[in-house]
Amino acid sequence: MSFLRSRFLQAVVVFVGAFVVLRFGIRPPAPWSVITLYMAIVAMALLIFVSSDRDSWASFVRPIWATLTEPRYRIVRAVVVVGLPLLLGYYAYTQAAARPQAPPELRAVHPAPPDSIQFRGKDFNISGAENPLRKDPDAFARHVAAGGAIYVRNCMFCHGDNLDGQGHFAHGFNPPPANFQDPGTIAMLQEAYLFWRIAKGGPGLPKESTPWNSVMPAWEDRLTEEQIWQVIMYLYAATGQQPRRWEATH
Amino acid sequence: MKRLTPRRACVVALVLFGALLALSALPAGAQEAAKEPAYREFPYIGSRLAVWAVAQLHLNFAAFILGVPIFAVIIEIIGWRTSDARYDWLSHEFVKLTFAAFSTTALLGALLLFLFVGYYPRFWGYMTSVFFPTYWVYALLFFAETFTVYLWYYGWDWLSGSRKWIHVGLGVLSNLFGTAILFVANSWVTFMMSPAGVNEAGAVTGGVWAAINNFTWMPINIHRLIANIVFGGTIAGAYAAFRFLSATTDEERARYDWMGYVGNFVALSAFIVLPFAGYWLGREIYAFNQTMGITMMGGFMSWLWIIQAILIGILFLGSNYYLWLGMERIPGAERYRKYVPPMLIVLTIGFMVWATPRSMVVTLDEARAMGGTHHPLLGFLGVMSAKNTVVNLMILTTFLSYILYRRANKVSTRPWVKTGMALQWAALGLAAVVVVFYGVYGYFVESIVRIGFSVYQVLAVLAAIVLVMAIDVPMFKGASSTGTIRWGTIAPRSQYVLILLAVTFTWLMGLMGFARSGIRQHWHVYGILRDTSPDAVTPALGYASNVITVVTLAFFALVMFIFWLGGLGEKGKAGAHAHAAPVLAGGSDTDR
Amino acid sequence: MRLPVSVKVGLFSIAVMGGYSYFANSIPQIESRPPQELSLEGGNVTPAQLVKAGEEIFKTKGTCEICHRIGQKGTRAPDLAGVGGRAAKMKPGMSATQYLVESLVNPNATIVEGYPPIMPAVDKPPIALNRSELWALTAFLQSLGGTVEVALADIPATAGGESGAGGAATAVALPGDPKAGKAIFTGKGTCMACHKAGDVPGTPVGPDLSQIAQIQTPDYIMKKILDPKGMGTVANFPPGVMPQDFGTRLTAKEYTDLVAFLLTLK
Repeated sequence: MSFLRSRFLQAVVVFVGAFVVLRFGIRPPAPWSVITLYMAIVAMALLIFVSSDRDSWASFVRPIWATLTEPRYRIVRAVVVVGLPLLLGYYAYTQAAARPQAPPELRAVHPAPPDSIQFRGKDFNISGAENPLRKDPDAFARHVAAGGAIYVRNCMFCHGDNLDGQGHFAHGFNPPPANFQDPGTIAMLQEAYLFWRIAKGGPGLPKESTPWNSVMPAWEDRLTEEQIWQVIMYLYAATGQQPRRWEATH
Repeated sequence: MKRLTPRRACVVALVLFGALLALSALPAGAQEAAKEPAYREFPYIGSRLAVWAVAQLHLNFAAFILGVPIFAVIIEIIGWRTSDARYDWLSHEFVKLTFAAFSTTALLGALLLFLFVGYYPRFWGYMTSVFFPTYWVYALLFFAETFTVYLWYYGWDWLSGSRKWIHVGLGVLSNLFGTAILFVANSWVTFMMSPAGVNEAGAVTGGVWAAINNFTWMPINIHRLIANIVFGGTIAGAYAAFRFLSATTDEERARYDWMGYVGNFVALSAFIVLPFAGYWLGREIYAFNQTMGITMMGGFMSWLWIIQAILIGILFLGSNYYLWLGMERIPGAERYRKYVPPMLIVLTIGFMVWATPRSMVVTLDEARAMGGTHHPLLGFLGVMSAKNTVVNLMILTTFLSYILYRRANKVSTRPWVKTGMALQWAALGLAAVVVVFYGVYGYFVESIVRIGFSVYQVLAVLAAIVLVMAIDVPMFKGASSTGTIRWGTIAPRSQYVLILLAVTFTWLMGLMGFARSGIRQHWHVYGILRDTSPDAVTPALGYASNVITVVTLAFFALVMFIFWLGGLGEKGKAGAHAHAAPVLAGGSDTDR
Repeated sequence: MRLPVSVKVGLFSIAVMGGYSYFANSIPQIESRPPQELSLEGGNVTPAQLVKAGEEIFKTKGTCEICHRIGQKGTRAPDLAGVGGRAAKMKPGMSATQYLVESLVNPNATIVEGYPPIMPAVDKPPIALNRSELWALTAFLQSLGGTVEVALADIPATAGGESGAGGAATAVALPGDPKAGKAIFTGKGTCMACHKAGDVPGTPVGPDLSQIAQIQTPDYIMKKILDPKGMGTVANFPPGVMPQDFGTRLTAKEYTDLVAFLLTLK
């Protein structure tokens, strides 16, 4: 099958394949801005690949040239000549059309937590801290139940009764409330990190990489230390996630 | 060429004279500064844009005329020691290029000075109060530089043969003068970024040397010196590419193919050490002022570094592509063809990771789909651990490309060739493993330990490069050849790659210039002389990139015009020219 | 037929650089604007206003937050929570005011153990706070766990730079429908997620708005909805919690309705 050995076809297959992998292979979906960047790089690399020697370049150009010149490809040519400008026009339209959506913003990833915070006037070490309530396995069920009650009273409105970030008020916020069911959120964080986020909320986020625009309240004045640990235990128990552990220090 | 000389010399002398006149008028002007307005408004485009455009153009030209002689003299020395006429011709050709750009540089410098004096009188009055003694040094150095280069260029035939050492000495001397000029000019620029030797009110306390020797002076000197070589190499390569594309004979094509290759080789070699100089500069900026450092890396300029990453990725891909295309003109290189796809895959994936932003642009819906503002998977790629790893792998791959190019038409005759090759592959593999290991391990340790890892990665790569070269040189000494390099038969698209590299590097210089100048924000002299003009706002990246594009276009248009002028002088006497190029097609294959 | 080389090369270069420019323009554009001056001298300022102004300076022009946090220990600089109470005990023979002012204008006089001496004098450029701003900033620091007792006279007459201040609120007549506004408050605007308003129940995350029309001017209310951060935060509430994007999420009609509703809360 000389058709399959055609460089042109190979390039198209790799390009489409790369797109499919990047678009559907990355879960949760990567932002469009990043996919566009990746695809531009892939396109550049493919051009280099097909043109890195004479034969390969000739084999790449041949079908294009044939489509453009040979009479038997008249229909294909017509489709391309009409279709390509339409496609470009559609792209220009998607870029320029007004949408009922706020324009995209720069977003920062999870910030590095501080070494220690002030919790109700006393120093509280974040790095290396463990959940003290887990020391007593017998009280586990009691703490989780208490945490559940705290969650329903305070957190559910935004983070949702399924802990999936789809609470009643969730649609009103940008960025949306965190989805705890997502393995990329609490499962990747230590319990102490959650303690910091809950105690200090949006206002406690560091100055770098602003604007955060997080509307998460600081709960330190409304919840006690024990209550915060309880609700953290509830989050992990209810989602079935395991908290990340601290790496052994050297 | 020679016919134009007296006129050109006149232009240079006139410009210098004018600049000196302006200088000597300044102290008197400073006394009247109180009555003068702090700013005047440049018509239509505004003073800031006018100064920006002229300064960038001046810097482009200056970088070119300072960078090219550095490797021109090295090439001349190579030609002198090996008695290979090709190198002497090439060196002469390079100097001819700088020569053509000399008067334009001086002209733009004078124009910049007039803009400062006219539109920023308060600022210029202040700079004069600090740096007045250096103006005279600068002017004298410029005279010395001009006359040495003139002597170097016109004395090429006169000082040949047994007097060649004098000629080489002149070349070295002109480079010393050129570097000194660069250092003086840098002292003004770096003083604006990180002032020293003055109190908060701006009055001089430590003398002019303290102001010169400020925090960022030496790092910028080194950074610019290396970057000038890269820049000179890429522009010379682009010039050769242009001549190659418009060549009418095979002989001409062969000559400019080779010249483009050398230009690219020079640029690539210097380019690999540039990041280390940049790292030092960054550290000194942090040491001078934490706020300035954070503004630069994490503040409103953070996306500038993503664009920089993309440009660097393009430079890497382009250089490799050029080497691969170049292997086509070497008989025997087919043996190494199979390495291209894997190398390309490493470079592509490396580029993708390298360009992954840490702060992503996401819409509301995408943030919802991601379950928050960070991406759980791509977030891993946006951090320094991943980027250091891939950039080291990309350097290794580029080095491998070069090694394969080197041995493309050679077959080693040494008995230990198997062991040698195995050792080389082992060294490269081991370096890659070390780089990846520390890259992955970096995720599991705290940031203080992680920063140290990048040093191990760089050391592993450098050690591998040194070891591989140490084996490679003796292994292919006196190797049998599978055929000579067919200069001039390279595909024309490779010449567009050379042009791409020159354009990209010039644009990158403009971008880095914006970064250097922009981190001062609303200050002329950081913390001392406030910018109170309407242009005190530091513009966004889009606006800056538009300016950079337009100025870079203007630069290339000017360069083309000047090179075209230079070419006019050659016409009609190519045969009689004392520096008629040696025939290269089917020439020696012992170079490099 | 064949294009000259210079044209081809020129077009190629334009395409390459155009691509770079396009990319640089496709990301959100951020400018850096020079900071504004603040003057409080000669006016009658209450301690509360002073603290509020000081907090603003702390976050913006003073750039303190780059290194200092309140309630968190950073690696670069000490935690400032409770500094108003601690200050009096830091150095024998120095009052809280004296210590704080000294730390601002001569930061290296006393270095808290374990931190590098990297703080710049904030009355000197590049930060260059004037006396009014130093006064307000000191007051804000004292409000963190201490009592506000600093007077303008306590600030040494080092930094100058005076500028006039002033501005009067204007009365606005709004065409909005309060009833529809209430629906926005409880529905699309999700205001009730944080605010109580008269008979509308809400959580205590944000201030109670039941009497907001009495407390604040229409001008303030309108601006606060569109630019919560720019208008400052009510004392004892965490700043930066209120969403910044109402201006893009609410339509003009919904916005005026919402303001009309809030103006009924007396």
